[in-house]
Amino acid sequence: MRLAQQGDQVAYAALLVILSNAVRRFARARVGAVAWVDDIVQETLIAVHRARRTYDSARPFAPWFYAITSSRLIDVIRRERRITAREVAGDELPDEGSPPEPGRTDIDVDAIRAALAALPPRQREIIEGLKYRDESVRAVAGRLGMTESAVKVTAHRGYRTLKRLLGMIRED
Amino acid sequence: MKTEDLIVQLAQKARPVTPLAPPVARLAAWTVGAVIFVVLGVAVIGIRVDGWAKLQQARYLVELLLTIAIGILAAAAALVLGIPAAERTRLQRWLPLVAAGAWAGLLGRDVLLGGSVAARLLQLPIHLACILEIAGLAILPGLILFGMLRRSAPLRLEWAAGLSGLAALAVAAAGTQLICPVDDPAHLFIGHFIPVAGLAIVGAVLGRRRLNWLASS
Repeated sequence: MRLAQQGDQVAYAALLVILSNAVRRFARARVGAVAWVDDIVQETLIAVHRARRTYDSARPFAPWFYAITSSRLIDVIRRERRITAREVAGDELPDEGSPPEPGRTDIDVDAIRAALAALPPRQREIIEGLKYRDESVRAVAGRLGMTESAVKVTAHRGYRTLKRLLGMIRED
Repeated sequence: MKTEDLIVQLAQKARPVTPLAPPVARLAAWTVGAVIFVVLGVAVIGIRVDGWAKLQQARYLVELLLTIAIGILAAAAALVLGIPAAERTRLQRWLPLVAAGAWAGLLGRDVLLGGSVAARLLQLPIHLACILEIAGLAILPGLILFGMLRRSAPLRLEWAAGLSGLAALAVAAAGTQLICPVDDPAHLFIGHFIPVAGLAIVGAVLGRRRLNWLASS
């Protein structure tokens, strides 16, 4: 880190690789192999980057680093819980055959199919399972070897992407 | 984005950075600056007529030193919170609040000993000038301390924001005590302590977002 503070990009890249592995192990030990472990890793690396001027080379590195990692881990867990709660609360696309809601334009099924095809394979597989094949979250999780929570989160992200693709929400 | 790509991006952005000075050094710089500013402010507004005589009184001096101590302890705790893992014990951040409690306790005791407590407090002995002086004398030290915190990486945002506000307000309250000619403890409690505590809480709530150094991640 001392070299990184001096602007040594090679040393910094090497450090970030080591740290990313350390964060991944740290996170998996606490939350398991959830789909968003990479979010924790990436947010921690960004935090380390922004906080690097606060590291004092006269002090041990590990407490500084793990304080940041713990903080990011907690924030990501909170955020994922909020996403899951919203998803469970019914943030879902209407069924293909259901009538349009009052005051809302009809939905172009072909457009939905096209947007669905543009999703990443895992998101598409989960949404097709839940919406087209009427599988339960548990069944999809079992089939894909994921936790139920990870299925819900991945499905939620897929819904958001679909909505974005369909022009129903603004780009973030 | 893949983690590998992020690492490449971050490494490419790695420019030399100057490590922050230790909290003790920054605390010393802030304290000197804050005290000079408050002393100048008091000199401009004018010290109370019997100010020098009051400074000879132990009780008055204890209260004055206590408010200064609250300010310094709060600033120290805020600066320590700006460095991940630098806080050795939670006592560091609670100590300024304990000291603030002691200040409130001291004033509350005097109010109780004076009798007719409810009547005196219900008169709401608040002087707008005192509140303006506290707020005015706190602005610059508060902004400077807040700026110092924004250059660091606080992980407990409400605490850091609230303590930086408390630090500036307490030092400003010490200055106001040198200006305000009213010795009634009911006034000091309602008109000095409550504004300091209230504004510090407002600072914690409002400052949290401004201190969020990870907001755009």
